[in-house]
Amino acid sequence: MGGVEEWSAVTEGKVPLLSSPKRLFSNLIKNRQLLRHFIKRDFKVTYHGHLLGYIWSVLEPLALTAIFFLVFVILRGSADSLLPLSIMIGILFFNAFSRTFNGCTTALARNSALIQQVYFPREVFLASIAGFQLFRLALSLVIVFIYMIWAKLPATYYLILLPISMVGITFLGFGFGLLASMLHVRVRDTGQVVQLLLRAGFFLSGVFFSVEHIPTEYVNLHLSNPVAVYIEMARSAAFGKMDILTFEQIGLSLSISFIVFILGSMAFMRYERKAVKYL
Amino acid sequence: MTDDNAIELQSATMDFPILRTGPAFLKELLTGRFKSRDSEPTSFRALDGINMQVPKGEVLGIVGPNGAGKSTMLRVIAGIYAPDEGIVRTKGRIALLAGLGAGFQRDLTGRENIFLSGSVYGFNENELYDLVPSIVVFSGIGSFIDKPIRTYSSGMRARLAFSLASHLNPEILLIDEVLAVGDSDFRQKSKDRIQEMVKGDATVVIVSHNEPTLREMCDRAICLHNGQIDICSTDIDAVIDRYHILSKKSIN
Repeated sequence: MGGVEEWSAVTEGKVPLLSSPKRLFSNLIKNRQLLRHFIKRDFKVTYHGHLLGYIWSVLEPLALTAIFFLVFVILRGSADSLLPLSIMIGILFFNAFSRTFNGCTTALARNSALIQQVYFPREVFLASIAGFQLFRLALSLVIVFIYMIWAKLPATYYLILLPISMVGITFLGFGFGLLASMLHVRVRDTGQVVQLLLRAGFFLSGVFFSVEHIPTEYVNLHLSNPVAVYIEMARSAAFGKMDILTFEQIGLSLSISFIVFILGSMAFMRYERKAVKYL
Repeated sequence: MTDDNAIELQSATMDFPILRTGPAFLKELLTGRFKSRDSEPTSFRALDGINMQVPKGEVLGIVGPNGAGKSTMLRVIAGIYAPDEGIVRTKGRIALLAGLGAGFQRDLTGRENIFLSGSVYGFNENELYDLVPSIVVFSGIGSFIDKPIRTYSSGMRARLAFSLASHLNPEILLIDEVLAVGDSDFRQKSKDRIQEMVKGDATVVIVSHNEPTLREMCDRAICLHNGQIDICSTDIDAVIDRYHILSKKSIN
């Protein structure tokens, strides 16, 4: 006892711009227990009242793949038995991206009741969504591995691309979500716009076609889209070969993810305190 | 500035944007004119340069006409809003008793919600395991604790929320009008519990329209008017009298 007690909370207007990504991370680490609780909550709420619970994170992409398989392989008579795997990987990775982006965009608005009750770093809400989707993606990869075994695809060093692609796509969605969440609080139309963009992105990111299926003059254009690159990376990992994708393209995509995340965290840390007033 | 203050506000100012939506906002965006030409204000000043110190252990009452900035002040102290200008400093864990149970997750059980809310307030898992039985007993909701919140009546939800809040054991307790919840039995119990907390070591700020309560509990009172401190005195009656005059004025 004795001595001067420190102020435990000092609330001022602004956060310095350049230190904001670092501060965002240190806030998340400081609140990791809370983060874990929110991820758990998302799991429970998502699969609440479900008979099959977590199995749905595997079952859903499986069912979608079956539909695409039906359409492409059986109805159109394509003989490629690996096509369903390719499509499934596309769906899994795009869904993870889209749900992270979309969920982060509306996270503050959806949690407004809790936000107005108690203060804790609000990036926890967004990070928990990113973490939940990353976890869900990892869980659903079980089915990719099963398919690989069934198709007698060997495990190669290319499998290292899988976690890199997962982290890259998560940070891309998280970064965009951080940015969009600040806009969404001010103009609620943002949520709708994000959904439209994602729907367009679904058809442009090579979810049910891969680089082999597009004319060569468009390949480079296609692979300037980081989401398409991440999906191709995961495919390369599963198929054990990297024909068209280059390391430059991978590096570029990872850089884009990084930059988007830095920009997102700057915008979030700068405007979040003001944004709460609009809730 | 003394070392034994639990709360300090230095010229804290809060502006709330007056939301323009639809065509008006679109017009603003397109013309790039964010300050409208007509004298229509674009923001509302909820707190206007508030300077205030609350020593540790003091019970401070806040009164004021509707819209004077009372709830905003509590939220600024709680750190929910950052002041646009000025600084707010606090010491220790803060609990805001307002809109009880609003942060509950409908699809999680009462127990799961206790863990979620508890960790929001900075408790770790072990501390919460120790607290849960006592929270459940005080709330009196019995076996419902393992049922989802959406199956609760509003009274039950309020009781669980109050019980949780009263177990947080905060160094700074902010109370916004909620002095009693639930049925008559629980009402008495919660009133007693608040008395207990107020009499303890915690620094308390109460916003209330209940004058007898204020007279009984507070060491000092403040009357807010248009975002400013109109009067601050240890003479609670003087503050309440001033409040009556201001309320009458604002009606006329």
